[in-house]
Amino acid sequence: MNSIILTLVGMFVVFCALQLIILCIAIYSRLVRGKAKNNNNQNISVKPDNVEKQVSKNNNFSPADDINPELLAVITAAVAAYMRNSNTAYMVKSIKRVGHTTPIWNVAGRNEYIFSRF
Amino acid sequence: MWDDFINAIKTLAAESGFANITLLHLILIAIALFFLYLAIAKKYEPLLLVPISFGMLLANLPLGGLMHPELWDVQPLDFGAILHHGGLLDLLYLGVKLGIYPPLIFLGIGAMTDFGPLIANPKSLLLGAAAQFGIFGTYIAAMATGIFTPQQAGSIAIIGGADGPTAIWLTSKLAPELLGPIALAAYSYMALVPIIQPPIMKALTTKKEREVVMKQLRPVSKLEKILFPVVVCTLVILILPSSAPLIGMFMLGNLFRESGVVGRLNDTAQNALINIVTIFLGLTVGSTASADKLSQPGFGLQALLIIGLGLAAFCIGTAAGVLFGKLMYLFSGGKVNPLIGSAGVSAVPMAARVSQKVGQEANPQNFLLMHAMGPNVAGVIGSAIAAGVLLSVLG
Repeated sequence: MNSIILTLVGMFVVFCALQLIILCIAIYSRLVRGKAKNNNNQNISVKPDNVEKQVSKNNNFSPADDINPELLAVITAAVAAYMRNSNTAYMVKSIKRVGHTTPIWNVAGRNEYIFSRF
Repeated sequence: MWDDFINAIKTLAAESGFANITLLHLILIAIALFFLYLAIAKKYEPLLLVPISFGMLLANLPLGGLMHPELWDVQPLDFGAILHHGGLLDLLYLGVKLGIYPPLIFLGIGAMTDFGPLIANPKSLLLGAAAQFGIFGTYIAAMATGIFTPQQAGSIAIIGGADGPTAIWLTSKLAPELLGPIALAAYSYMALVPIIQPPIMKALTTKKEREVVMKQLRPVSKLEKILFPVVVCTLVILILPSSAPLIGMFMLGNLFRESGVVGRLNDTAQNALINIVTIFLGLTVGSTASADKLSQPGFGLQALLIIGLGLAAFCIGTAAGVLFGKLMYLFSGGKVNPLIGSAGVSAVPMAARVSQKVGQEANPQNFLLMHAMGPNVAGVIGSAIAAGVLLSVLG
């Protein structure tokens, strides 16, 4: 086969295959995220008078189902270490990721400034 | 009695390596020592370059009997003779010849790879595709020299994929006689990515383009990560069955990682297994660069051209990735930093680190690493597909 034709065929196949992968990722990501969104909406739509009942029913309350249990354990341990108290006098009810809009160097500078005051 | 003693010593001396060493042996031993120096002192890909250069050293110590190139020059191969008369490295080389080691290395790489950035920004796959032009562009150049057969040209071109295992896998299928120089060129250039790529990236982009800060990637759920290897493996192998060994093992390794239920297999794949296979692969690939092989007429010129074309392949791949990145910059209204395009030439994670470094030189508050990891891992998939195309057409 002519080398230029092989090049054209090769690039065409590589682009088509990767384009198909992009399409598949887009489809299944949308499905997965749509499903997750529905689940969240269902959780939010619990009526207020039922909330207390729901919480008391779920004694093994999980703060955020999509958080890795190991990460949850690390955050809880960090809170316990900060409070200097490892007993079960408190309960982690929710963990929310704070939007990371500040540039990392600003955060580093701010932290340095805070620690210099201790 | 004294005469007997002297004769015995003479016989021993005549049978020693010193009596049988040639100038070519000495040159190759010097090259092996130079590569050892680069690996140990300069830390250029030491995990691969140490076994490769030591394999080269072993193969060029005369009469060691570890490797017998003549056993591998017979067509068709006489596996009985290899098993009966082969040395240690001949037996280990069977794993290269039968195409076993590179897919096993891909299994380990898959277990180490996080496809999160790619799933979060699937368009970055296109950058991984564009960088494969380095492979096909070099194929045209290699054919234009008139020295190489189409199979040899395809094997040389795959150096542009910046993926050692893929280069070894394809070369062992298409042009096993060039395995030594191609593997050495591929791994050497991978180590030289931080030197080769930045000038090309800077030459093809403006300061304004290099300063672009990209939007933070969305978090990717566990289910999306689990689905990815299954979907990609099924899709790519259905499109291009010849890529099955590489893509299949790559995605299996990734499924080990993401499924979270086979921790021991995941640990073995990304540590013990890949290390063992790397030792075997490095040693045997290095041992193919023996004086007996290089003394064949025309081989020296071929080796020099391979080194030159390999460098061209890397440069073309980098340039194609950056140029496609510029195209995405234009079409996205300036939201894509073209520097991440250069990471499309596999070489994980070195190429992504280079994008990060060059980006930070232009804008110290810019963090391109995770954005560059997308095209970087896409490049691995792209080069495996390109290798499958070359094998289908030329094999």
